[in-house]
Amino acid sequence: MTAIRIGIKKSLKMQGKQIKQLTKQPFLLTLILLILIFFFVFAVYPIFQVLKIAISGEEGFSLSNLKEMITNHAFLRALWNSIRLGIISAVLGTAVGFLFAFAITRTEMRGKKFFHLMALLPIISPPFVIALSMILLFGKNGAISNGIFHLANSNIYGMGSLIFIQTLAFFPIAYMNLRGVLESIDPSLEDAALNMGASRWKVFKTITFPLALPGVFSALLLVFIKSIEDFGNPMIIAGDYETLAVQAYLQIIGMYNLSSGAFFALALLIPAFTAFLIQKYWLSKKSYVTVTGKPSQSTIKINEKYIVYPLFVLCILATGTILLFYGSVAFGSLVKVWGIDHTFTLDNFKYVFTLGFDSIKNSLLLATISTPITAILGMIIAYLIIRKQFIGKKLLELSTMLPFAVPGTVVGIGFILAFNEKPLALTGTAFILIITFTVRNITTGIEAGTNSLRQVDPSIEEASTNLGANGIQTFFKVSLPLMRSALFSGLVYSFVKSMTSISAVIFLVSVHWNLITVSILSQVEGSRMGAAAAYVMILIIIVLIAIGILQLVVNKLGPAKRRK
Amino acid sequence: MSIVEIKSLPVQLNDLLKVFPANAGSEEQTAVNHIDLEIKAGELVTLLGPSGCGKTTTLRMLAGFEQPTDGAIVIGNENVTNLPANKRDTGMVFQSYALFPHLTVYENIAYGLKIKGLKRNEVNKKVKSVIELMQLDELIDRQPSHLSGGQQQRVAVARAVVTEPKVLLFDEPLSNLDAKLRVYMREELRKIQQNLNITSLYVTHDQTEAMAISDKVVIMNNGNIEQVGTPTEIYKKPISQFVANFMGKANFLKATVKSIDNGIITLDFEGYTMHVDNKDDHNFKRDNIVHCMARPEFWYVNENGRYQGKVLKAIYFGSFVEYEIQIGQQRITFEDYNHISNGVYKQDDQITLDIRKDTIGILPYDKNYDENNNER
Repeated sequence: MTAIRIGIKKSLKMQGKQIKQLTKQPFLLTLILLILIFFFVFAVYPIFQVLKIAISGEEGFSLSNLKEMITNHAFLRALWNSIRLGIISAVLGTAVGFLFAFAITRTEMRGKKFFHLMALLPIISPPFVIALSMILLFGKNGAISNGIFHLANSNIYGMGSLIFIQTLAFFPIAYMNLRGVLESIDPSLEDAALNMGASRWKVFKTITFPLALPGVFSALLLVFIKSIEDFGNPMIIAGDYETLAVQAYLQIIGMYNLSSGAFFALALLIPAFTAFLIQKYWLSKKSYVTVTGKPSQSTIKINEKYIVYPLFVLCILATGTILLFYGSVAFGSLVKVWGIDHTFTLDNFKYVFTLGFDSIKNSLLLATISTPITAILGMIIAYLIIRKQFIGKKLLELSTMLPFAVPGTVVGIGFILAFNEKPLALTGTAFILIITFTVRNITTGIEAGTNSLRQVDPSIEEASTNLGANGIQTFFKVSLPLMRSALFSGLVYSFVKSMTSISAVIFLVSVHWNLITVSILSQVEGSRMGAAAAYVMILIIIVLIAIGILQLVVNKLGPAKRRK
Repeated sequence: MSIVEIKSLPVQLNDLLKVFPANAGSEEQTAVNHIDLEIKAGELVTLLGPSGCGKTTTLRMLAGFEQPTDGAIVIGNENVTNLPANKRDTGMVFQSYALFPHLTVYENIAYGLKIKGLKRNEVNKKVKSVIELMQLDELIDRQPSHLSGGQQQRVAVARAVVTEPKVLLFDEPLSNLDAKLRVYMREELRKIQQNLNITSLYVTHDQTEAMAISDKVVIMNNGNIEQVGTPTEIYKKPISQFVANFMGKANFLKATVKSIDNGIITLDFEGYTMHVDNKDDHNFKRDNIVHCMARPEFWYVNENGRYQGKVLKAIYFGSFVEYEIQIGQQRITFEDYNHISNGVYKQDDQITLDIRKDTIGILPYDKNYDENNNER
C-alpha cells in the first residue's frame, strides 16, 4: 500500500516537474495551448455540433424522431447505396492499383515512368474531372456514344458509371500505397523462395502477396473511405442512385433541413471513421514491412513474357483510359460545342476569364494563404508530437487527425452549424475557407513530418541546444531543414487539396468567396461543358506550376549540393 | 596562447536522483539513485558501467537534457540544477556525433558562436583556431556525410570546445570507430582535454578506454556508484566482485581467515597459507570465509612457489598463454606473459605458482561469484 502511495506521490511529483519545466518555457506552453484551442474550436467543436443536431434534431432529442429518421426509406437507400458503392469501388480500385504497383515495382517493363506519371494525374486534379469527361464521352452528345455508335439517347447516369469513375479516380491512391509496400518488401525473401525451387507464381502466392496483404487491406479501406465520402462524382453522374454525401448536401442546401442533413452526414461519418481507425491503428501494426534503412539489393526483376505482357496491357488500358478522359477535357475546352460543332476556339477560356475569373482568383489566393500556414504549422505540430513531452499530447494528435478522418461533407456541415452565429459568425468569409483548408489538409503534413523526424537522431537537436540555441532557433535552424522533404509534401498536398477539393467547401462558399471547384460543378450542372472543361484545364495547369514553384522554394531551404 | 580560452571549474553532483515515471508497458525506474560526485577543475572523470547503470542519465542531467528528480548540480559556484540545457554552457560530444547534416564543417563549428551572437570576424577567428587545433583545415567546406568517422569525431569535438564551455561532456564518443582508430582518438582526446585543461565527464562502457583516458574512474551499477578511484586503484583493489569483474578478468579464491596482524592477513586457501597485505578498513574476523581477488596476470611461475597446481587447459594467444589451473578444489585462470622464458605447459602438467601479497584483494564472500561459476 505504502509503496503504491509513494509511487503515486513520486509520479505526481514528476507530473509537477513536467508542468514546471513547461512553465519555464512560456513560449512553448503558449504555443501548445494555442494549437490545442485552435483544433478544439475548429475541429472538435464543429463535429460535435453535427453529432448533436443529428441525434437531437433542431427541436430537441426524441426517440421517435430518431427512429423515424433511421427507418426512413430514403435514408436507408442512400446508406446502402453508399456502402455498396464503397465496397465495389474499393475492391476494383485496389485490384487495379495492386497490379499496377506490382507491374511497376517487380517487373522489367517499358514505360514504367510514364505509367507512374499518368497515375498521378487523378491525384492532382479535382476528383470529379472523370465524371465530367464521362459525360463528354458517353453522354447524350458523347463522342463515343453518339459520335461513334450513334446512340441517340445514351443514359450514363447511375451506379455502373459511378463504379467505373471511382475505380479510375481512386486506383492511383491504392497504387501509391501498395507501391510503397511492395518496394519495402525485402527482395531477398523472394530470391530465397526462388532459390528453393518455387515458381514465379508460387513465390507470388506464398511470399509476395501474403507479405503485402496488410497493405492491400489498408488500400481497400482507403479507397472505401474515398468512395463513400466522394461528393463531386455522384453529384454529377449518380442520377437517381442516391448516396449519403450528396443527400446530406441536398437536404441542407436544397431543403434547408439542417438536422436531416446532419443525420445523413453522421451516417457517412460512422463507416468512414471506423475504416479510418482500423486502417490507422490496427492494420499499421500488422505490417510485416520493416524499414531497415539498409538499401536492399534489388533482385532480378520479372521479365517472363507471360507475366509482363498481360500486366503491360493492363497498364496501357488504365493509362490509356486516363489519357482519353483527360484528353477529352482538354479537347472539350478548345471546341465550340462539344459533340456538335468541333471548330477550334478559345471562347471557353475567354468566358472563364471574363465571367468566372473571380473564383479562380479566390481559390488561388486562399490556397496560397493557407498552404504555407498549413505546412509550417504541420511541421511544428510534428515536432511537438515527436520531440516534446506534455500533457494532452494524445489529445492534440487526435484532434489534428479528426478533420482529416472525417468526411468533408461532415466538416462542411459542422462548420455551418458551429460558425453561423455570434460569437463566431464566420460563414461566408474568406477566413472560414482558409481555416477549412488548414484543418482538413494539415494531417498529411503532420504525418510526413513525424515520419521524417523519427529518422532524425534526437541528439542532433540536443547538440543544437547544448550549443546554446533555444527551442525556436533549434526548430528553424536544424529541425525544419531536416524535415525538408516532409515540408515539401505537406506544401504540395495542402495546395493541391485546397485547389481541388469540394465536399467541405461547397457548404461554405458565398457570393463573395466562390471557389473554382464549385464553379466547375455549377457549369456542369448548367450543361456548359466547354466552360467546365476550360476551368479544369486552368486548374490543372495552376497546380502543376505551383508544384514546380514549391519544389524550387524547398530546394532553397536546404543544402544544395555544395560539393563541386 | 590560443584564442580558445577555457576557465577550469569544478563540478559537483549532490545527492542526485533520477526516477523515470512509470510509462505504458514499463514500471517506474530509478536510473540514478542518490549519487554524490566531485570533479575537480581540469580533471577528466569517467563514468564506467554496463548499459542501464545510469551513467548516460547522469551525463544528460549535467548537460540539462534530463531534469533530476532530486538533488543538485553545481558548476563552479553556480547551482545549475534548474537552468535549461541551452543556458548550461556545457560542450557535449555525442555518441553519434550529431553533426548537423545540412551544414558544412565550418558552419557546424560556427553554429554555437553564431547563436551566442558573436560578430562575424570573431566567429571566424575562433573557428579558425579550433580548426587548426583539430587539424581540420582541409575539410571546412565539406558536408558531414563526406567525412570519415575519425574526421566526424574531430568536428564534433571542435564544435563542442569552440564555445569555451565550462565542462566538456563525452557520451561514448569512440564507440562508432573501429578498434585502431579508437585507440588513436582516445589519445587525441586526452591530449586536447589536457591542453585546454577543461573539466570533463566521460561516459563509456569500455574499461580499457576508461583506464587509458581518465584521472578518475567512477564505476556505476544499477544507478549507484560502486567505487571511485584512479585507474590503478580500481583495477588492483576493486571493492566488490562486480567492480573486479567489470574491470577485467578476475579469480575469486574462496579462503578462510586464519589470523589478522597489523601488517598482514593470513588465510587458508586450499590448505596453502596465503598472505595478504592488511591495509584497508575492513571488518573480517578469524574463521570468516572470504573471496581473495587475484587477476590472472598477477600470478607467476616460480619453482619455489607456494601453490601446486595441475594444468587443465592451455591456450596460446601469442603475447600470453592462458591456463586454467586446478589448485586443490578450485580452478584459477592464469595468464603467463613470460612464456618465452617459462616455456609453455601442456594439459595435465604440474605447475608451481606464486603471487605477491600486495596484489591480492580481500572481498566478502559472495556465492554468485564462486570460482566454479567464474567462467565468463
